[in-house]
Amino acid sequence: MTRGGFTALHFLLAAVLATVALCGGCMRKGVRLADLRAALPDASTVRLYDRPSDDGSALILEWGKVDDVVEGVSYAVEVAKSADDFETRQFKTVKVELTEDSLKSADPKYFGFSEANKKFYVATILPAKLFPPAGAPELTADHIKKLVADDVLSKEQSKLILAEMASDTPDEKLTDEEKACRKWLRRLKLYPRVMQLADEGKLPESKVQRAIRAMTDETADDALSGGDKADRRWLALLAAFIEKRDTKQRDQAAKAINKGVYYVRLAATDGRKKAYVLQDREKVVYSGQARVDTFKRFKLNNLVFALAFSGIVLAFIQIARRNPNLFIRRIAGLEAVDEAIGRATEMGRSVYFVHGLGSMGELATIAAVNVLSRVARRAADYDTRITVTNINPIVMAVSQEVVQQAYTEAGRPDAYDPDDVALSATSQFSYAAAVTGRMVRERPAAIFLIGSFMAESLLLSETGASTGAIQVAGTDSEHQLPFFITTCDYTLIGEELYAASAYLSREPRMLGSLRGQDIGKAFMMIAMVVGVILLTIAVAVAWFDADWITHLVKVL
Amino acid sequence: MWYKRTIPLVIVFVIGVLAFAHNYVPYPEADDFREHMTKWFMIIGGFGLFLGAYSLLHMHVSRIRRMQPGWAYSAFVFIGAAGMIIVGLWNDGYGPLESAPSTAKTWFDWGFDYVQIPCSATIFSILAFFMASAAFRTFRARNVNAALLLVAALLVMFGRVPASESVGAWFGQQGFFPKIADLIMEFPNLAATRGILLGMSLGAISQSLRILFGIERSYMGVGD
Repeated sequence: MTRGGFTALHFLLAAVLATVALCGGCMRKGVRLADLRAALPDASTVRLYDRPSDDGSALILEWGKVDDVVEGVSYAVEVAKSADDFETRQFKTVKVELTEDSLKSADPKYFGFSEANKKFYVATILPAKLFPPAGAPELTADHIKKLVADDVLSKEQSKLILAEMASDTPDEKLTDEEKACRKWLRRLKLYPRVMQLADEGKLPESKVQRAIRAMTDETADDALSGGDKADRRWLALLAAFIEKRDTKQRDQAAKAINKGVYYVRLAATDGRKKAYVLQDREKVVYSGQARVDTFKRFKLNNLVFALAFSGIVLAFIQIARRNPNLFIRRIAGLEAVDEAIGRATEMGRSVYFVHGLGSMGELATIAAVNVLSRVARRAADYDTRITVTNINPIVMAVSQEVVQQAYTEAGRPDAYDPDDVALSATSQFSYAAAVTGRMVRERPAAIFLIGSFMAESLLLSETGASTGAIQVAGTDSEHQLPFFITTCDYTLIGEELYAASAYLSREPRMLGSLRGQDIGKAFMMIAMVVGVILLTIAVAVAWFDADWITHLVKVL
Repeated sequence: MWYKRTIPLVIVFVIGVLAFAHNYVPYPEADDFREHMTKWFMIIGGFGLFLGAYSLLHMHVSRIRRMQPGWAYSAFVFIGAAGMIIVGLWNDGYGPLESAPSTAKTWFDWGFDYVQIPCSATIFSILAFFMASAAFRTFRARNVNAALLLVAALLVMFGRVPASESVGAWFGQQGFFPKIADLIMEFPNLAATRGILLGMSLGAISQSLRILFGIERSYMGVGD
């Protein structure tokens, strides 16, 4: 290449670089200040208020949506603890992008479903997150130096620990030795907090020394023996206690932070420049305080429905008191209870009542125990043995009480055998194996599978079917219903499980509640049909653009 | 009998109303209350475990003593339980392995990982055969309803296997069968499931009211 050509190439390259630099400069220049000002909302639309229906942890800044904002503009919400902090730049910023997620309508839980919400942006200000409470003291190099000075750590050990403190290698990339060292460091990190407890007088000197001994011992867990092992276990308990205490203190500090008054400014920004909301040429500062609300307003519809439905049920209970001959629809599965127990009596075999996996805290289990009391009473009347299998000890204890009472009421307290209501196993498939094994060996004449079931449902019911027993099942686990319907003679579907005890008792007040339940169900069905019709109309209006349908609906 | 009937009913009513109110108030204290209740539940559950263990062992002792059919299985319960307790307590589960390498499993882990888990997996795997036998019984077109069920089940099963796409491709509609399966699952199946769920919710409210107001007391074992 000639010298002249080389120069021309240089010239060309320089020109390209200059153009790129110019364009880059233009891009860095960003949005014009005038455009930022144009993106600002009217000051009268800006409001700072407590977030409704919450636990007092948030403030909301709301402002009117501005149309035709140029690209690259977003909003910056500056939050400070006092108005003066803005001058000293001691504020935190919440960034709000101009997307639909920032609109008030994006959070109907707090702001409802009003169409007007689409015209406002909101920023959620969480004081405890912006100004977090001071954390627990951290382990520093000074702490390590002190431990060396106290002859608790050797210099070699301190070097190892300091190196590990500086390391940012992820756990999965560490060698076994490095992993052991990191574990040791985790123990040592407790040191400043243990000393804090000692300073507060909450840990006696002997315990402090024990903790330091356990923390500074670098031996791996499985190589420890005797007293050292006990010390290590005690340290783990102490760590759990400290962690819990820290969390509690942090929560309390966060609550105190949330209670403060906060000052807020709103600006439109392109990331570099800012244009603030002004009034009389002054930046407007809004102030507000979060407070704990008394009611979750977004659950109002839920509460109204719950109260209305409860009112209907209670009203029918009252009606049933006066008029005990209420009509209740027939439930085939429950009509079969007597048939099943009668069959067991005739065959001289036992009745099995199989609880599901649920605990006493689940409504389905409570319903199952209620049904058990009725079944046990019938079995006691017929002098038929009833075996109750349990997976949960509490359910077992309650079932024992219920069955014993049933035998007592039937006048046969001596016929009750606590071994008939025993724990079968405490894990799912051990339970299935234990119960199915007994079914095959003892061949009961009737099996009730009632409660909350999971994958073991088919194992139990299919085995029961193979023994030729008459089976009645009932569960609230909708995924297990098909298995029960397939393998059992009768299945209580959905609310029939909850209705079972009332139905079997034939007690007027209980039957009244069932009537109320049916009325509630009828109301739901009507609401759904009306909803489907309205939605179909809405789709038709949109599809055909047919104004006449809208008019018709309005007239109706 | 007031202590057996009235006091529990008052406790049930008060705690029930508080738990109901908890859903509607955002007070942090409401969450604290719920947490306390959960802890109580766990504490009671812990004591319950002793009752359960006693009940289990008592039942199996009786079965062995009476030489009931299958008493040998009861003996096996004691062998299994004693074995796990001994290896669990002996040298922190390491048994005689005093100088075990750090990665070695304890005897207790070994018993759990290589006996308990495979046994559970075996029981679970039997489910496949039970499903086949239950499906065979159910999918017999004895009447119109059963025939409908059979057709829907076949379509869903076929739509869920890769071969359905190949068969669809022969007719120029590769995604036809998977789409039919999805339609059945998303509309008629989901509608029925939701119907059941709505009914269950109403039933649950109704039962809760009966319990809260002391109308339903059979779960207490104190009679009507």
